Amino acid sequence: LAESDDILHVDIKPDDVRPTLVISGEIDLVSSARLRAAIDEALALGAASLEFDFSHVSFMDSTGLGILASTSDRAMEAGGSVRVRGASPTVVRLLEVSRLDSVIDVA
Amino acid sequence: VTDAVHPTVDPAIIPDDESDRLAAVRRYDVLDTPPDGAFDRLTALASRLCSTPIAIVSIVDTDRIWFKSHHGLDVEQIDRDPGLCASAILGDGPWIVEDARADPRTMANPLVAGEFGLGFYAGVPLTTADGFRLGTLCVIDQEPRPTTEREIADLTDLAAVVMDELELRRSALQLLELEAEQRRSAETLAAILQESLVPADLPALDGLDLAARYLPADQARVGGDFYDAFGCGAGGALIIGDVSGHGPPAAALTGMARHTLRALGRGDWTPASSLTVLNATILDARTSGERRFATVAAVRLDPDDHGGLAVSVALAGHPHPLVLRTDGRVEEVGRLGPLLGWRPVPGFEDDTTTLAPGDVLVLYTDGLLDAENDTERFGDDRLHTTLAGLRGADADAIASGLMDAVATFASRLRDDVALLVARVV
Repeated sequence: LAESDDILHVDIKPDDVRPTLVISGEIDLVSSARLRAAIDEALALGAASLEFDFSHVSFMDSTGLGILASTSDRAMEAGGSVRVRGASPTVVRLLEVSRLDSVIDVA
Repeated sequence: VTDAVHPTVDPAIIPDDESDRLAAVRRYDVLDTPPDGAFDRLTALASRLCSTPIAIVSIVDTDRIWFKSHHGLDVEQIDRDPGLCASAILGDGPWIVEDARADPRTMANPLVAGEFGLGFYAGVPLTTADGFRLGTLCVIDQEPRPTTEREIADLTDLAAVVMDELELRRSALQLLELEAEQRRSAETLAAILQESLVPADLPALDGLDLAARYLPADQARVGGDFYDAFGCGAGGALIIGDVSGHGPPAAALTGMARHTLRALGRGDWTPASSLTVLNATILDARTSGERRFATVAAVRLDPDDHGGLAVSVALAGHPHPLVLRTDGRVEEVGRLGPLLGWRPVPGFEDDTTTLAPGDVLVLYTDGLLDAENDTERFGDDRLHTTLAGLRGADADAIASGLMDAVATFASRLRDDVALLVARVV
């Protein structure tokens, strides 16, 4: 598992209103625990909103969609929102197909 | 065995084989189990055949007599006192007490001497195949009365049926234990999970040629994608989906999805109405743990007046099914809807089209698009082009053609691939 852990890296850029998670690598079942932990960490900073920088995300599957759906619900319950920036056409298409684009701002 | 002789129980009513007998009682694992209709029907029958208000299936435990079924009496257990069931299990045959208050064997028993005022008791031991007497089937009246040979014969036959029922129950428990043990083995687990994902055989649907493919990305990690096909009315239903995660939790969600959609398919349904119910079912089943989501494409097919099929499609987080027309055109069908298990008010919509003879409907999961080589993924455009090139082929050849194209193109599957192809004949 040590090897597959390397497929995802997350940097958190703190911000009072909307911290950014800069994600590099592949979001799938194997890497999902790391992403979840990073989201918990970012939300623990106290802001209601999150931004995901997907510029360096090479792959995302339905596990990632589930994480984004849950995170968007959490943000909205706290009065905030989720924004995704720099997503590839494939990831943008996934957000459309799942209708996550109805609540997530895809920039 | 130290529990063989209990200090509060009269040693005179402890059988010689008591520790082995108690082990037999434990083997049937029946003590303190909930009421069971099979036993309740037998005590009701015993009460009717013997014309007594009360009939009981009793199990004699270390210091108590526990009732598996108690017809006509609102008591679940009594102390193990001499005279009644506790004495009845000491011998092979029926134990008959026609006038309990006058009978020296029973007059001191609390049920006889006390407020209840038992007057009549007839019990037949419940004897296992290896000769242990677990308890009795007995009938009870508050008034003393004589017995007939016929009643004793009926009671003896019924006691044998009670014993058969206990054996049946034990076999079922053993089977469950065996299954649980098998489930612990990873290999068997994978096989069981696989069965929950896809039907063993595709159904024969009138006027429809069906084919399916399922290719797990990782043989050791079953879960993820599923499909189903079943008849409803004069037509049928096609379902394909992808649940988040793998293994038992994913399989549980898959099972819920397939069974819910099948059950709804028996009534008056549209794909959107069924997905709406399934969405609510998943949200209701949500526990405090990790949330689970699924994508599903649901299709209903009904014969139309022109030898073709009326198609309705609803999508929940799932990519569009494709229609391949006989002239080679490829069309997307369905309106995109939210992931299942996410929105309380999902707003799924039915989209409709018609299929003429020769037209083909293709349902697939994301894994097909995500198959990749070193530089590219298979993707929508390649899927459309490949499908158009398979014009004129039957369902099985189209399914093989698509899977072959993926295998030829891709060096790696990112996710499971499921594929369901239906061609109007």
